[in-house]
Amino acid sequence: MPRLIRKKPQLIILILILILVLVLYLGTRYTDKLSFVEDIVGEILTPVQGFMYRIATNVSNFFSSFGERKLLRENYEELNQIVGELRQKQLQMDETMRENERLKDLLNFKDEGDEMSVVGARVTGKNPGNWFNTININKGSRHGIRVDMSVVTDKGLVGRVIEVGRGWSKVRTMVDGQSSVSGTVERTRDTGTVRGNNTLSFEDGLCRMLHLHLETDIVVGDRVITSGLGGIFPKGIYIGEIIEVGAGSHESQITAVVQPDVDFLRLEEVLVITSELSKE
Amino acid sequence: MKVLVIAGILLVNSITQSSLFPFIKVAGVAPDTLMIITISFALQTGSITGAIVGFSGGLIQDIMFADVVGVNAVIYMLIGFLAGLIYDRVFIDKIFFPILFVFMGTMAKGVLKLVYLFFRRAEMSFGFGLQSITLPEAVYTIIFTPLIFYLLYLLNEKKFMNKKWYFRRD
Repeated sequence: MPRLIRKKPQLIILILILILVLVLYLGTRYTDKLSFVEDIVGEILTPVQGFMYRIATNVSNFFSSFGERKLLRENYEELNQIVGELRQKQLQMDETMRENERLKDLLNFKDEGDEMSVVGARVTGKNPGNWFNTININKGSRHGIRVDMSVVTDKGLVGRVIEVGRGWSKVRTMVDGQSSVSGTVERTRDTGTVRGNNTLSFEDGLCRMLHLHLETDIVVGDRVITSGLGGIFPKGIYIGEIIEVGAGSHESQITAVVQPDVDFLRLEEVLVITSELSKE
Repeated sequence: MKVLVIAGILLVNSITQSSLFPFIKVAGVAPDTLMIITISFALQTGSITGAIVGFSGGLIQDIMFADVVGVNAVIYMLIGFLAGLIYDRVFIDKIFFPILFVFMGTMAKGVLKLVYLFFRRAEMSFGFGLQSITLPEAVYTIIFTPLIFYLLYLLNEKKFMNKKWYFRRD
């Protein structure tokens, strides 16, 4: 055997390829738990990576802040106006909320969103390739994180946990090509599938909403939230705003382009929703 | 020593690629420095080292980021091995050959990734993937190629880097 290897290094490559194909095949079947080796490597690299990622974010924010400073004055006045409008809306909302609670009590209706508990996590790195959109976070099973938990920021949905190590996990963002989330258009209550799509534009961070019914009257500017169907994502998390409505691949369907509020390029802190699954 | 140096290079590269490079993206793509490193080792030291470097570098990426372990490892190993086949047969200069091979390698990687995504039923069209991810990525990557190739060339001239791998000892 050694002589054979010495003579034919190609043989090693062939054997390695065969082993890898086997590993690949096994890997696609049992994916959600990290292997021991993976876990250890991640455990060691995550802090270093997180540190570097933080430095890079700060430098990047420093440079982009120059552009933002110019717009300060404009933004200030615009925001003042919005605050006024929002105050009025708040008053109306308080009233509606109280009414809502009263009516719910009457109906004996249990609210799902009320007791949501979250774990904060720091983003430690992004997938280096240009093909996938997954991120790593510095919390794992030690902190109560499980596969399929939803990851959000204050701006809306980020994605879901796909693999968990003891002190770190991998998160597939919803703009990844392999992600799909069931969404509802807030105004018209139409449901559709929000799929990540890295090919839609040059910038990261757009999704496509598929399987919308032909008779919907959705318009540009409508907001999309999670529908809660499928049981992975809790209901009512903000996904994004519709920026384009077009014909779908089938004649009986409509496709919309959804732009999330989350800036997937500059993610720093995220929240993992831990309560929804534990209730089951 | 050789193993340690290569491992160190690959680890530092992996960390840089995942933490720094998302912020220097142009047209939505970041350069693929692992491809440059793999090709450089393949052209400077031959198929075996090229394949080993590609395999280990790809494996680190798989472990840290991918949901399936092995995809990157296979792709980079194949590319490293194939590029190394011309080692010792052609005179390899410091600009033209590295750039040519890095370009071809990145394009090949793009095609293989598309095939993988196709089987994973991801939302991705072949034409668009090649045109707006692979091509910009290849162009962006070759800008970095001469510098990294030259640095690794200096490294590979060192004595400790020229030890043969154990299983090829005669």
